[in-house]
Amino acid sequence: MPQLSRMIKDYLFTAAVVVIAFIAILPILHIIVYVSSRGLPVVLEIGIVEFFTSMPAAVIAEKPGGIAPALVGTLFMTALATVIAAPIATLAAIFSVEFPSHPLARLVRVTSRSLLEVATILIGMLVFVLLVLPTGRFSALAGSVALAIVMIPYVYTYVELALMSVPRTYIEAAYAMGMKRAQVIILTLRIARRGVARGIGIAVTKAMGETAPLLFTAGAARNVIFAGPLEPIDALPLMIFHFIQTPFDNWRTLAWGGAFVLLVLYIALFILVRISVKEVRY
Amino acid sequence: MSDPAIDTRNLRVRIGGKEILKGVTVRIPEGKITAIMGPSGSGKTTFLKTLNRLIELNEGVEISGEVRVFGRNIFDMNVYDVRRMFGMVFQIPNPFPHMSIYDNVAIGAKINGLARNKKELDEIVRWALEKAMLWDEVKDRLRDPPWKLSGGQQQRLCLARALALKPRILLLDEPTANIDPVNTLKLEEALRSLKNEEGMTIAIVTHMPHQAVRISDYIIMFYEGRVVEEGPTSDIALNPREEVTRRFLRGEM
Amino acid sequence: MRLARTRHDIIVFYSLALPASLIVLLLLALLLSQLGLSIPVFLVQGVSTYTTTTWRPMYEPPPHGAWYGLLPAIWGTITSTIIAVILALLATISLVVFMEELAPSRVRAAFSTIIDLMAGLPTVIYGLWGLAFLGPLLQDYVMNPLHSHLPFIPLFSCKPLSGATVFTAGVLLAIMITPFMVVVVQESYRSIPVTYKEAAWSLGMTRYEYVKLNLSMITPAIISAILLGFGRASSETAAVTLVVGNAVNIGFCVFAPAYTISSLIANQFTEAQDFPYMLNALFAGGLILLVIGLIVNTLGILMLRRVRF
Repeated sequence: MPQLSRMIKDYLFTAAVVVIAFIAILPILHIIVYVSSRGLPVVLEIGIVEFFTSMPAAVIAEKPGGIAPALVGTLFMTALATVIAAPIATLAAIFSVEFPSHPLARLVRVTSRSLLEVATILIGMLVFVLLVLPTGRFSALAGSVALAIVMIPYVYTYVELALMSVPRTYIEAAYAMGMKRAQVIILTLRIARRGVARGIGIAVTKAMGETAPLLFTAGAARNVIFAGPLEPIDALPLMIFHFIQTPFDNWRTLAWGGAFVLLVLYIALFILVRISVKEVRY
Repeated sequence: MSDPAIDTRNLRVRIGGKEILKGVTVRIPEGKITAIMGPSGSGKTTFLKTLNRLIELNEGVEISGEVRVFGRNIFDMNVYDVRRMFGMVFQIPNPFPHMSIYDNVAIGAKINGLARNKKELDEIVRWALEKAMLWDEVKDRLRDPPWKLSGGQQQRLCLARALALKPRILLLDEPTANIDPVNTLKLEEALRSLKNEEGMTIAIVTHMPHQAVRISDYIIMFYEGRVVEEGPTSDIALNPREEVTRRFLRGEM
Repeated sequence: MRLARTRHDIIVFYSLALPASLIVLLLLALLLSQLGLSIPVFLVQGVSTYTTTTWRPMYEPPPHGAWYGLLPAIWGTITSTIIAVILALLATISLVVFMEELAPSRVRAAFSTIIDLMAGLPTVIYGLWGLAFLGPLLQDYVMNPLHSHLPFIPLFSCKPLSGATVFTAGVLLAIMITPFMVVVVQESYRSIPVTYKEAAWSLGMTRYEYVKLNLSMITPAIISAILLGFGRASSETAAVTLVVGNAVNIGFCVFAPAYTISSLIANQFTEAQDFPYMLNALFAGGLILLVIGLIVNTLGILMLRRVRF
């Protein structure tokens, strides 16, 4: 039986660890409750239909209006970003797996990791330079491209992981049957489809919630629900970010309502990704 | 031997700097079952995988020498065409996990363009499964995934998958090493009937001397990357010339 | 003997190499654009862009008219990040030890899920909560008490005027970066070979001593987590902009509002369209953020390789 002082230290340590661990997860739980308590009443009071289908009203209007432009914007840009990012990142991941010793493969891996960690506002600035400055306008396209760049490293990482975990024996069997390289690659993708879908799902979840890349690309158009891919557009996180900083009650109310919707979307996607695609058993 | 199915001359294979096959000159007869025997590490699997150029999937492979299959030098041919001449069964059953039993067999026929419509495809699938002695056991559950089959059944499924290619030569790499005796005998029976009824050329790597003696017409004995003895099974089994062959047949390796 | 590469293989190679190269080009473009657009302000202000504290937007360009000193923003970034990493480290170690040594499997799974949830939560929601709840809470229960009782400590020497301070940003960032740090430390902790654990138990160590031993074995991973946390905290924009106060400020007291590089960029970008050279100054800020981020993350990965048993 160790001495008393060691036992006391041990006990204090254990107690401290448990307490701090629980405190550490308290914020997220509180956030969910708090945002819901301030956001849900907003949605209910304005009325679900109006909240989701109308535009934000003028600051002095009686009722705040709705978040339709932001919602449509987020859905559109996330979808377009996925269409852009998923193929590029998947093909790049396939390259890294098929030609692992080629210098380009190692370069891509390092690059992807760097892009993953770079401040997303810098990505917004890059797209600003590439798309907004030359064309002289903000656009949904620019916003989508910025989100796509944010998504690429996530999809790349997860697809690479999924492909590498396909047992080599299946690949050998496929080649032995005389399958050509492209056919074998497609077969491998299909065996690894769960990992691939998960990677895309995680990337989509991330892109949907990003604010910084949209700050100088999307343009925050709030007086029209959707004007076209080459026109400025709003997004849910962007609207929340802007409106909460204004002194106008109407708009701040919308910000809270929007935050609640964003939270619900996030949790829904989170659960969806966890449940995933139909499993492939070996 | 009249024109052999496979004819190698001074085949040398290096992988990652290490020489695995040190000048193999050997002939595999057509329409017969040839057992490729030898202790672990003697190069049997490497030899087999060189025949269908599968070995080239590894990094750092250097090959010299000649390999002719039905008279054609495989290193002058398009590698995918070479592989389509062969069907291969691996040591551990590996049916594609994301496909049904039917699709596993069908895919070989599909990629080689052997069926023009669903009816022809169904016929090939049935033929392949019958030849693999698996049809009766799966005919009512063709849509099931392969993991529902036992190990021995999965291996026969892999045989069916290979047969659906209508290959001229079957290569098997210790196919019964991981399955039970009953399924082993079933697989051997399938091979025998393939030889007799379809005239299939079969090369089977095995480290079980009983199996070699049981089913093969011709034996090639590998040791340390070289062929030390070859000949008709009846000769070799009764009168092995080399010491290593003798020890191997006695089960001492 | 030459092994033939078929035309098919060559087509496949180039089809795949194209998107791969695109990704590399993107990073290159990022580096070049940040550098390229910073150069104009370096030409008129030189290195003192990073070392001066004045922020004076004017239509007349620097150095005679306007001046864009980034030091306050850099200070704000570093201060909030240090606060964040210290607090997050405490939380990280506690969480890892709790999950790996103390929690029953159901609880551990729940914690794991919650931590994953934290990792992906849209940052603007963190910011909203920070602004509306955390800031005022800290002001009333932490900052004001500390200021009134311990004003002689330079860190606490000013009275917070609202919840929006560097300190608040630090605390919020701590919450946000904890999940990422936990992943790094936890993976490393789990990879400690069982044999060492068994040896420690057999020596009659208490749990506390045993945990200390394990943590000492994965010290490089902990350092890596710190570096990674540093990188993440310094990059964060939306949440920080909402709680940091956005005032040009520098000093020892952390209960004051300030700018971080990212919040400065977020806040001033639209203004920058009107004032010459301000946009370039913001890009100069982005440049240093990029450089710090790349260095810190590369070091972090290198550190991770040094975990050896």
